[in-house]
Amino acid sequence: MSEDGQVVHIELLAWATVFVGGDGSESREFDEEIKPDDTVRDVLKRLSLRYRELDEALWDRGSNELGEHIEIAVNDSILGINHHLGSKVSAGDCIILMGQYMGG
Amino acid sequence: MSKSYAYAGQILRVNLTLGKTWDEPFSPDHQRKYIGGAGLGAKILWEEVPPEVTWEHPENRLIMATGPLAGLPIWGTGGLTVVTRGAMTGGGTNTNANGFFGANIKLCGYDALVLQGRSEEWVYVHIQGDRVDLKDASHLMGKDTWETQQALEKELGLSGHQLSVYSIGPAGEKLVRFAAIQGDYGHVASKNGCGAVMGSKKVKAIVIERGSIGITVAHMKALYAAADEIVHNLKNDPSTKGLYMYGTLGGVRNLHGMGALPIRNYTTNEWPEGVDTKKWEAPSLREGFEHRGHQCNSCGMYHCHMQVIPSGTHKGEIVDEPEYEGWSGAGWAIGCTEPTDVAWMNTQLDRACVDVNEWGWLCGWVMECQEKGYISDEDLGFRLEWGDAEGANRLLQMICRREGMGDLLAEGVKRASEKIGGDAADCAIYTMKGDSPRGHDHRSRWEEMLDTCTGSGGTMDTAPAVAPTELGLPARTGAQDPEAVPQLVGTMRGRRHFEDSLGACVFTTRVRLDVLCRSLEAATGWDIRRDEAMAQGRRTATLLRAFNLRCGIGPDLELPSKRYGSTPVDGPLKGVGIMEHWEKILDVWYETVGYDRKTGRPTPETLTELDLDELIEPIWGKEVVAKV
Repeated sequence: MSEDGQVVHIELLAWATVFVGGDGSESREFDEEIKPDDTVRDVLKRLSLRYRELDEALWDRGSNELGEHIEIAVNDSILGINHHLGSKVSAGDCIILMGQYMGG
Repeated sequence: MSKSYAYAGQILRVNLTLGKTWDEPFSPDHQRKYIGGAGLGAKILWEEVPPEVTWEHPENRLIMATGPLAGLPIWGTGGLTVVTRGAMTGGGTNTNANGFFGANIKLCGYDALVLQGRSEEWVYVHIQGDRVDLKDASHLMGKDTWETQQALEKELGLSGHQLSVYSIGPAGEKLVRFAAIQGDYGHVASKNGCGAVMGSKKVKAIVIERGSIGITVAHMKALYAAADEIVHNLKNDPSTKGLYMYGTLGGVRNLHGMGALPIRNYTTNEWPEGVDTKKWEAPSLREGFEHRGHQCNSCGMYHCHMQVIPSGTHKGEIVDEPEYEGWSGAGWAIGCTEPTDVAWMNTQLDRACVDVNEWGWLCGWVMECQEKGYISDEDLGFRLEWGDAEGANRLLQMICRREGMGDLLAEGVKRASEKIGGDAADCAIYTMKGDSPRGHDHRSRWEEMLDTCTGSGGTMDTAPAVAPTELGLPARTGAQDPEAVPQLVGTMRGRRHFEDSLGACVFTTRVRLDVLCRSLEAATGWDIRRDEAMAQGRRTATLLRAFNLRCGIGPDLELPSKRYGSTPVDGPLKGVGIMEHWEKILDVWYETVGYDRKTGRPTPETLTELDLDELIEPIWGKEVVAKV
């Protein structure tokens, strides 16, 4: 925990848990410390650097932008509506990672 | 007969009016240009079904085609593509099913079956190698698809994968407009009322005994290497790994998080109170049932399963494990949130044989209309509440018999809601062309709403993007970006049509296009690369669009219905609507695909680029041909 206790809550839901050692069910939760001016990208990058499979799934190798495999919501809103990767995060924000959308 | 690597080289024609069958060659130059499946079907449809031949006209064609990968040792290569003029849109249809049909027909010596004409009496088509018979089907009438398959297995003394049976159920017999064709216990070609077309031809079933004709490939070692590469990718790619292990079971939980799970006819995007979310995770959905694998030809995915209902009213009954679309259409769209009830209802739909997507929108609409008093208990004949699986099945049986209000509902939700009108009409989910959207809430997936509204095959043309970076696109596109979304859909256009021409399953073709090209090259000996594959796919898409335009289905109908295009009232996309951007989105899409924005026609330049010069005159007239 940072000195002032500033954290963002990250939750990996269901299938996305396999990228952090889960079995594809329930959820895995993390409280990530944030620094001033941290963005959604910074927070996600710090988490993914600790989990190789998450890093590979989350980021596109060529561009270092988001890859095609994981969907993200910030504060219950899909990324791209109220937040972008470059948006600053605030203490108490909640980022959810979900498995990729597919039909069937 | 013209035989080349990976192909049987023949198309089986059946004239039901005359009771005649014959073979015709599928020539090597046409193989390369159209490949098979959707491509071959689109070519036949364009050439042989003029505008006056409506979906129920005897001269409509019902094409069941496979492709060069069918029957080979590549996962999921038992597929067939059904192409016809469909009952829902009155336009082109391109819809797939898997199982063993594609492999079996190839091993009998055919790349495709084309049904034309109309039988006087109900028949089934029996294919045993090069022997083809039209047999009396009167004893099969009224049977559902599983009963039909069981009866034919008994009659012919064959079981398991010795024969493949694709049939219609009671819905197709009564020309229910969203009737489907089902085969090999649980594989459904569902779109655009192809089952109604088969019913209109008085064909109850197609039965193919597994043949013994060898398929020769150009480079066997390279084929095995390509097959291994596909398997490796499916097992290890972050997206397809879930598909490999659980099929599409992960869809419900993921889609809900994105606001893309259609709950109660698009009235909400939030879980109903008291629903145990854990029950809807992929491992729970599988572990909750006793089950066994029911894989398609050559497939090693843990995808298709049969299962036993573990508890409740239908305890002990065998059902097929629903795909995501089944959990959606037989479940969430109609407010049914108990997995065992949904699995049971989904199988009733397969057995009666209707499109589960259209079912979800139709039944959900009836439930909402009942709740709001737009359809009375007296009108319907009973009370139907959200989540009532038994009541839903009662409604299904009414529709299949065209009994009472079931007769109107058998026309699908667009026509039924337009007939009832008023506030009821505003609640219905469909495209103005008459397509049934897939079982998602497309208000949070703008690319799919655009794709459904502009598609020409009775559903999405392009579908979710696979490996977009391969085509120079960003790895991820904002799902609500009005500029990037149509660029994505337009640029990816053709990839799915190419996949649908191969005779393989769309779940096992979720790998890079280069990998698919390598497998096709090994099979056929062609030097085929990504650009040619995309051009082939775009050619097929363009043929189907030209067909639809000739049928009078143009850009004026490229719109969602009022509810389909509405703004979500809650959930992750609350307050974010697509319609204010709709015209802009279409502008960008048209520019990207090379079609004329005003008329919807593929431009002469696009037609030339796709080696479709022969379409310029029929589409644009002689004057333009002279200028070109």
